[in-house]
Amino acid sequence: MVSALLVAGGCKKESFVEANLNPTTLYEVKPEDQFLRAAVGSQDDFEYFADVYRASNLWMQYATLSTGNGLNFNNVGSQFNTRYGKIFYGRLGPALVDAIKNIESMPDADKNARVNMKAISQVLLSYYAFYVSDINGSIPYSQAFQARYGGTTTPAYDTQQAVFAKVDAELKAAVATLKSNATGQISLGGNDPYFNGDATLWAKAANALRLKIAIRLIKVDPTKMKAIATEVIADPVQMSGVNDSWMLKVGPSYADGGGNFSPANFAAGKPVLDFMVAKGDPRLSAFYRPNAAGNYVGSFTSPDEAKLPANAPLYASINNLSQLQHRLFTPNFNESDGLGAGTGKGFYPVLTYAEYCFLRADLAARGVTTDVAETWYKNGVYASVQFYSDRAVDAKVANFNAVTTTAIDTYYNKVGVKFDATKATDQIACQAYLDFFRQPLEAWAWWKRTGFPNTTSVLAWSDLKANGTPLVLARRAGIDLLSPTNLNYANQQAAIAEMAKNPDFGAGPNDAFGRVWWDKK
Amino acid sequence: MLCFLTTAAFAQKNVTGTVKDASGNPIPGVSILEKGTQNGTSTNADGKFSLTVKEGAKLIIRSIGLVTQEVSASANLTIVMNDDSKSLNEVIVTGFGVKKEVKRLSYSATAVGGAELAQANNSNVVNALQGKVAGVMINQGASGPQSSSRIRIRGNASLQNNTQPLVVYDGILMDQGISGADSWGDAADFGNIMKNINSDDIESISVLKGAAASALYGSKAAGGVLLITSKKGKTTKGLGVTVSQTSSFDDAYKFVDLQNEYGGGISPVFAKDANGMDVVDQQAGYYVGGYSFGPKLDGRMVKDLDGVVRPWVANNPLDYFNTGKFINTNVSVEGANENTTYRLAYTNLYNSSVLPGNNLKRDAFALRVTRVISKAISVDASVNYTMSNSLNPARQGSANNPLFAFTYYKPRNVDLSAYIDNNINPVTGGALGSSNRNLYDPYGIGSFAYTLQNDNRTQKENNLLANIDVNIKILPWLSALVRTNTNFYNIAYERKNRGNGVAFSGGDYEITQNTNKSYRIQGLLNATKELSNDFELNASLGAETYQKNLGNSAFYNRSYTNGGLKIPDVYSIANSINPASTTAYPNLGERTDAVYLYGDVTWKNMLTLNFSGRNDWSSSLTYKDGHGNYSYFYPSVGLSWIFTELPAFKNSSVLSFGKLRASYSYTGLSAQPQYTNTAGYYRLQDGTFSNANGGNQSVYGFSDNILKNNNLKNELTKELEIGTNLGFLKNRINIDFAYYKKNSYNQILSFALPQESGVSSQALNAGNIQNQGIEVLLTAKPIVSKDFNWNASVTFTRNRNKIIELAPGVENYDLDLAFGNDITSVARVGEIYGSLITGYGYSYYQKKDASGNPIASPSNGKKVLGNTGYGTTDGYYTFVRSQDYDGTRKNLGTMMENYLASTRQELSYKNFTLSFQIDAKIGGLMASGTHQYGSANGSFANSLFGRDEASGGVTYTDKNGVVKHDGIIPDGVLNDGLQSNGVDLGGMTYADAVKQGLLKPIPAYAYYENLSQWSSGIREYSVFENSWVALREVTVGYNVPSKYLTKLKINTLSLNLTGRNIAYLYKTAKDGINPESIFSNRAGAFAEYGGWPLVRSLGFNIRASF
Repeated sequence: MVSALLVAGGCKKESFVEANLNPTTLYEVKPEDQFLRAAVGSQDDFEYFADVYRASNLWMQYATLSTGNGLNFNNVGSQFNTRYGKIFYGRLGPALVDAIKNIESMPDADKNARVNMKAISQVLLSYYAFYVSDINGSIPYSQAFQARYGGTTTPAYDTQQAVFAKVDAELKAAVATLKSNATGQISLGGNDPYFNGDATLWAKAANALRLKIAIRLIKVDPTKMKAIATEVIADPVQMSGVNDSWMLKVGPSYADGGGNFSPANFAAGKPVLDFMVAKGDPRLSAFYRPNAAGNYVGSFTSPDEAKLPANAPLYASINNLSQLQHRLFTPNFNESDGLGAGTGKGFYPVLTYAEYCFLRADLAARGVTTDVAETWYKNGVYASVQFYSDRAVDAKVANFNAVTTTAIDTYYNKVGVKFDATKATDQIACQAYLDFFRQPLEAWAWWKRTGFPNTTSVLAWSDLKANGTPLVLARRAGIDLLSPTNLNYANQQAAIAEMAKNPDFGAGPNDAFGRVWWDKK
Repeated sequence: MLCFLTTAAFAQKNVTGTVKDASGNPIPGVSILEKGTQNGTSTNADGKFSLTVKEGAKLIIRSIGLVTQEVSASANLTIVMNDDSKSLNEVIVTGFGVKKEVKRLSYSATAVGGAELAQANNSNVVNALQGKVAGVMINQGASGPQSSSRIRIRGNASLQNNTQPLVVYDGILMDQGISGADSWGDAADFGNIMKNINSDDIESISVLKGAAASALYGSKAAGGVLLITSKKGKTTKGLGVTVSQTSSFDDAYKFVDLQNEYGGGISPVFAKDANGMDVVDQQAGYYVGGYSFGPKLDGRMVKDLDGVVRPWVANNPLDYFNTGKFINTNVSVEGANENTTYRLAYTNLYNSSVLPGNNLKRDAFALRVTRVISKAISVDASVNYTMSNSLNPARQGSANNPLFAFTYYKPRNVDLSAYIDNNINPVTGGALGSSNRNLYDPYGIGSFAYTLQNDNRTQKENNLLANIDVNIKILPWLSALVRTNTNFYNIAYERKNRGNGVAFSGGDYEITQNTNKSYRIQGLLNATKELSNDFELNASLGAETYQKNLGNSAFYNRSYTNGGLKIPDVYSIANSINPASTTAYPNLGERTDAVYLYGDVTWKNMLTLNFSGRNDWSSSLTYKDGHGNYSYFYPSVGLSWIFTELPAFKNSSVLSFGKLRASYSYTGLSAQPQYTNTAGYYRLQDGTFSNANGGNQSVYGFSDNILKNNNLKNELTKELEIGTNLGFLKNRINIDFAYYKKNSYNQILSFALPQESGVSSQALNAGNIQNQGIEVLLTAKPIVSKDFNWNASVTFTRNRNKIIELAPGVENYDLDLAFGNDITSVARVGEIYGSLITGYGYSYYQKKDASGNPIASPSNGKKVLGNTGYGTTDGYYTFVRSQDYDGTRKNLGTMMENYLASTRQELSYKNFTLSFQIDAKIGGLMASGTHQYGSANGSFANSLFGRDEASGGVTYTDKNGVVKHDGIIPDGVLNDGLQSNGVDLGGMTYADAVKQGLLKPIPAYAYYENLSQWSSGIREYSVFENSWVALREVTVGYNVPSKYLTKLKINTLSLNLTGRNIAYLYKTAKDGINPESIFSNRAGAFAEYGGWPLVRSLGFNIRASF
């Protein structure tokens, strides 16, 4: 009997192996699946919670807490920098690298049909590497993501200079590939929620991105900036209208209005709200909601001002204040209008046509290029208003009507909006600032680079004070020190030592008031 | 295999006899065994037996509770059996599934009788074990009668989150799952399979603590074994019908320590309305502040936030709770004759808890039949079928928990019943706060009550346990056992959540079905042979296969609506506004085959050598390409020496029994099923992508961030146990002492890798987790007399669960979390299991010079005050979290207890019995979410200091020029970098800063809120030692003398009054927090998050047999 049992079971390994297979496990996925995975994972509700709503949105004075800003709202919370671990290294990077590795390992015929797919995957990966390095400085990039493919589990850090250079080279190569009109290409199609697999639009976006990265170098390496800008602008493949804007296009429930994506309970920042009201900005009702009484009322952005006894009644209830326009962030927000959850479309701008225009305007105004600054500035203002009008309509923002060209004309001709050559960089930066309403982290970068807005710019910020002491703004992410038991501890230590050679790096790795390489004084 | 067996002819003879007790009454069911063989029988209803034995044989006469005897076989024997004055001769069902005399075991094993379990009046049999067995730690569940309890035997041998013992019910292996909430939010704990075990059907539970005992069950038994034996039919004098009925009532007798002096708001005086009426401060409202720092509760009439005039008094949250009921009725029919025993039982339980809406209903059927079919073949078959229905367990981790809801941002003046009883919005429908919530539901209580009444969750379970043992006598000394059994376990969950929005919009519907099926087939050859006059051998050779969910035979299937219901109150998946979601997959399949050999050799009834060896083949260690170390062997050996059998001790009047024992054993543990073929691959991602074209796209990607490991092998536990059993004064006093050292190696653990490499972890075989401890069981009979008897027992347990080693270069392994991930319980090399690590502790000042070097300063070592990342209430400085000060993550100490102790005393006088049990846990930290968040707004009594002059408040003039008396000056120094009006505050005490006019005292409401609220709180404040001494159980019983019963045709009638969880005689949990309310039975869980009020039960049991 015992032996019978043994014969019946004990020795047949195949049946054991079969018992141990999980039918829901997939042993391979397609590169286009990984692209979609990366795109969908490029945004994160926690980034909105920690990095946008409770950090950059407040610093950039787009909004305040419903009770006014705290005395230390300029501090960087420990959960800031979602882009680094959760998104880039945890999700987006591994997916895109897997897509690229997968394509590279294919037989030639399959590989050749995915030349564009590979280039597009690279553009998104390069963009995100730039985005992460932008506030973190040195990061592992050239050796990152290799563990699954037999590579290192302890990737060394590349300096920000090296990351930017590598990204620029990767983008340049991708543009060349995407322009080459390769035939027989398998399109990403619906797996590309940015451009539906359109190679030309990706080439335009990649060129615009090169420009955006190049302009970061304005102080630290102006020569290189000029070289890249000149090279990019000479290319005939350029963004030429709002529909070329690079953004993640999503449906109504991607960002759930009930979760961390919700912009609820943040009050409009008074400086920007007042400026928009004064100039009759057509974007006003797309950006902000009137208060319960139907008026646009902003919140003081300086903690000391918000705490003044005279202002106490204003902060007694959030209903007294204008708030962020929910559906521009979370289209499925329920307006309690009897129609239930919203059904509009959402968007996450990466690099809009308006931004592209402002980049060109800024370069022109500074004499880096031979463009006409006014033209590109005007294009930018018109594009930005048009873009947000389109988005607000798509998002079904309640009571929002599409903006007419006449309305933009009227707006553009207001003093302080209409181009004034004596204030060119100020105006360009302040209009870019308005355009960055949905990219406050990029507004932060522009502020670092240009110093605008400030308390005396066309759009004037409030002076920020707590207990009478001026508050300064953070300029980079605090770097979490790895535990000495982390296998990559030595590499991080080396990277930090290298960054610390920069006298402006700050008091230590975690000093968010220090500066990264490009953010030169 | 059988070829070496030969039949030998011996002279045979038939012996007959009668077994009687000391009073001369026949005893049925006594086992009669021919010594050195498995040839045996048992006595019939008249105490008679008949057995054919070989010439000159000796008979062993055994019955539980009576002294075993050995007599020479002869005709017409009359055997008188005496009560066993002590338990050393008792038999126990061991790890090998056979009854063994305890005195021969080389390891510790303890049995708890079914009657003692049933006496606890608890639906979860695990809870009934609390304090009864040395070495066993129980954490009661905190969500109602269905919730699962955590049971831990001799510490955590593994770092996995389930370290609970394997449950074996009549030979059927049952997985005790983990359940409960986590640190991230709302969860209802429906418990695990243990809720389907009915203690009325249990004869006994053997608790097998060590690896030596668990060797037979292999892989799954590394955490010990609870070996449950069901009741078997017995001969009875009457009809064999027994009826038992228990009614027990739960009373929530203690809430957390609330203050009852101050009502809502932050101003000590009322504002007045146009009519001069006192008006409650808006800041009392849940959505505005929820503060309870307002005017003194003096009973005056005030206008509440909803405009209703109410008296200004404190509420009593205990009023919300119900009297819980445990109504259990058991009917059984049993009988026995020489060839057959049977028992058929039905038990109905209705158990409502103190929480309104929460109950457990259970119907349990049990049938066990044994039958001697022929001289050679006998069958033992049992079937248990349980249907349970759980409704609305308490929710943990959110304001849906009543303890949370009544303390977190809830001022003390809230008229709870006003909102609980009328929780639907009168204008717009839905929850009270569905519109204009600041008016209709200003305290949020209506929405809480609405959710509890309208978000209904039910879980219906069907659990079938069926086992057939066929015993075949092949030769007088050789028998075979074929055991076949199955466990079929189905869970059907349904959630009907009525929409809480305007016009009842929103809402959810969910249905989940989850089935698990397992089979086990076991074959054993058992040999019992007297090798010579001095040597006796028992040996078994066996093989088995255990198969669970093989071949996609059992599924998990969950469907739920998204985005609300189209038509309110219509509960169907098709009524989903957004596309409904479905998750469905076959449950993880696993198969373990094994062969084993075990037995013992006894020399002169004195020295017994136990041995076992087992080889497993586990599917979980195979890989899809066919490779894998899936076969592994583990042996055990033990020695027991009854030294009092030596002539020197024969006439000792003091030492009546003495045994030394030692054992050394290995237990193997396999990987999680299908892990090797899942980790590091791809899968369909959860949810879909809502795309801009209005579609919902499937997203595929990596299943995880794990680097595959293609060489996993089994975990291995090695255990040394040394012990002694000593009996003194004719065994009136007995001591059972055990020392053990258990090390678990090659743990399959997931170790962190630098995430920049594209993966964040890899599973490795590594580590050395040690559990070392002592267990003492002392039993005594201080008084033995005809009418009055006193039995006493004391247990003591000390276990040290130390992490000797993890993987090379790895110092920490995360186990569990509290407050999101603000506190982590960690296995840390060199420390006790479960070190609580947090960056959210207090920070202590260190002055630094310009280049950052530490320098001496009188301020050093003082608590640091300053800003926090997410801001503080009204911008006041508060204690800086250690991670924000200098990146420190503090080690607060271990969650594991230092000692466990218990005592049980049983007194009987004639027909009356009185027993009570006290048990204690000393040491070990717990974290409390209720304490942390509940303390934030002034509802706890711990916030009474500093509210006004009388309570120590400092007088100051606020920024509006108003003189206030609620100032608190925190004890600490200000962080470097802080300035006030240009003056550097770094290192200055707060008191000095106030003195110099640089800072104001902090109003009490802001001080307390900043100390413990979500955004700025110090979590260390709500972590505390959790020691307690509980008066667990008191029972008074009366057995009605038979002289009163005979006319009523009743055989026995007993009455019992039991009080359970009566009081904590001592406890260290802060501010009235329930010390036994951990939110999950995961091994590393250390937090409560809402929990449960203190509840005591009083029950009455009547039991009659006919």
